[in-house]
Amino acid sequence: MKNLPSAVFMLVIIASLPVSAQFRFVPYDGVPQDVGGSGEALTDIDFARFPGMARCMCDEAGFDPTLYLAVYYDGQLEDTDVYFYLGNDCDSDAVAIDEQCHQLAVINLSDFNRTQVLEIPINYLVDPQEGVCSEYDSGSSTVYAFVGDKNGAATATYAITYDTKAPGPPEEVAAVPGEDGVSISWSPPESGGQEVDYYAVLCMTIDGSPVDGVSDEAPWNDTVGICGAEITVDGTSVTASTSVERCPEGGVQEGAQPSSCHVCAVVTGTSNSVRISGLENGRGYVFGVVAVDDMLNASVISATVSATPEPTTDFAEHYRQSGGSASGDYCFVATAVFGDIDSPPVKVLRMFRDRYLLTNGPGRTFVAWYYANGRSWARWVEGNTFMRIAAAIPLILVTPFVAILLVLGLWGTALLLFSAVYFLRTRRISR
Amino acid sequence: MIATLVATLMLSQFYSPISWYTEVKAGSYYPGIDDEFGGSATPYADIFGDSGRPAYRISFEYRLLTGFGSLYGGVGLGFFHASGNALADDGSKSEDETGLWVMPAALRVSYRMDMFYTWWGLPLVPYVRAGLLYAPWWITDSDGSVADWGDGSGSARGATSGWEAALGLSLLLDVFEPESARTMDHEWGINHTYVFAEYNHMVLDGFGSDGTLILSDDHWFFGLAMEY
Repeated sequence: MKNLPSAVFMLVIIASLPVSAQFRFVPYDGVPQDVGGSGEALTDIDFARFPGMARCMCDEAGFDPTLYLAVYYDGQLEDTDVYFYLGNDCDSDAVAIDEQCHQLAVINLSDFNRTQVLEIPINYLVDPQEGVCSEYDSGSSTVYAFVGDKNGAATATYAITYDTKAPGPPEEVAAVPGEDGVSISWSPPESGGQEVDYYAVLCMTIDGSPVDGVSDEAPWNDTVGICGAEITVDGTSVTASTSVERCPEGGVQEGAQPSSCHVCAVVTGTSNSVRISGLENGRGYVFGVVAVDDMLNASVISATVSATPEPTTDFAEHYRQSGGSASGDYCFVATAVFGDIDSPPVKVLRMFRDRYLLTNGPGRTFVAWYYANGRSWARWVEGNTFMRIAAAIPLILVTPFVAILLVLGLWGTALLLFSAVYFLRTRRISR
Repeated sequence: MIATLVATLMLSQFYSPISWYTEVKAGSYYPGIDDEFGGSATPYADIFGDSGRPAYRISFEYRLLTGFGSLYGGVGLGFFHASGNALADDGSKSEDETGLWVMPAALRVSYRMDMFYTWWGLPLVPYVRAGLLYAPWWITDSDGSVADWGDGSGSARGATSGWEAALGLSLLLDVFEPESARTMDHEWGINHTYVFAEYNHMVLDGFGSDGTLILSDDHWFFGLAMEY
């Protein structure tokens, strides 16, 4: 463990078809249900990422990450032992099987009248001889099934590849402040740049606090999600805390392990910039970038940069400040009818607009159409008492319904309407 | 020259009935937002610069009448987007982006003088066009969402109505590849294909009403069209 790097171990496993059709292997994340457990069969991508979910560090820290391999046998049941080994070239004459391979189990063929399960400690995938994960690596190990003679030819094999190697950290990280946000750019890592699946941009305030309302879940397999505890790597020692601390002290620091509480944006591996919005103008922030490969191995944090968002004037503001008079976002007609933009009916209709109209395409089109024409209608209504009364009647009728819709939601209102119709029908029938 | 003339005369005699006209075109558009200020301010130019940007239109028209030329009626939809840098406190350009989006819809009639081709095989079709426009627009801020006006008056979105008139000249492409033109007509029902240039006078100012974002402009469009 002394040489264990400070980054997170991830493993990748990719199954190959067994040589013999008599044995069939299915990977599980726990003891399968048909043998009394609650494990779920792994999908291809979950299977590929599973070893990363039980990385060597967890094992070293006292956890017990295990891949469960259900073994099915459809041949003749006999009183013959089957030896299952994990390793490389275990069926070669040149390999001393008990020294260079790890025995997983010995199961009698007669016991295959039910599903058998091989428990594979993840660290033995990486190091079949010693079970010690000492460095990031990628490679493969194979499960061998020897029927009768463990020194003979393998009856079935099941290859598992792993990838614990994280990309290098992104480089040339730069920050440009803007209004309520900062634009972050970077270049791909020198090592493993082609394998980057995501970039995660981390941010924190200049005093080290996570950013409220911005941080997100980690796109990599972090130690809390995998091990149920934070693993800290300090120099050469690895320790685990059983208390789940998702946001360890230190925050966003160059060369440190990323923490999910600092994730402010996630972009695809082909991107090299992103704008972090929702920040506070005048407040300092620190940013770092992490590269994550498709097996969710995360790099250490890149060099960090700091920036302070500052107000800018967009086109709408500049237009208005220049004296532009284009209509804004009012409920023109309702305001004209009820005389005040903050009158309750206008507020209700405005809330309806924001919640139900501006959240979909047709609604936005209607609102745009209304804003293009509503002002002239409002002027017409405003100057004519009769029209004001005439316009008020439908608005007064509609507004309570809209208020109910806002309070109860779409389904609640539908239920209320259905209940009312049902009540009225029942009452009519009873008469 | 004589061969081309013969080819066009032959072509003019054999084509399937025409019902529809479709065109796609692009031009350089500079919305007249700053016209509202009479030279006292240039908010559009300050942010987006003082040169035009690409605008695109697609139109579908139906032939209503034919005889002495053809009369078409139809609809069109356009797209325009300008993006620029927001201004920092000191008036310089910041790194934040802001944008203006315009999607004009048109209801219009066209008169195409295609009789010259029918009569004399002249592969040129002058046309005039007029229509009503309705152009939803919105302004985006640095994070791509619809901007606020900044004075508490709500979101910077709306629509401007207006009208347009255009004068154009189409060049019939069939004469350059008569065989291909005949094949397209025979197999796909596409009678004619054109390239055209069109001068467009667009008055998008809410028919002169106040409180409207003025999007008027005079500009050239160039495009491809087909009759089928």
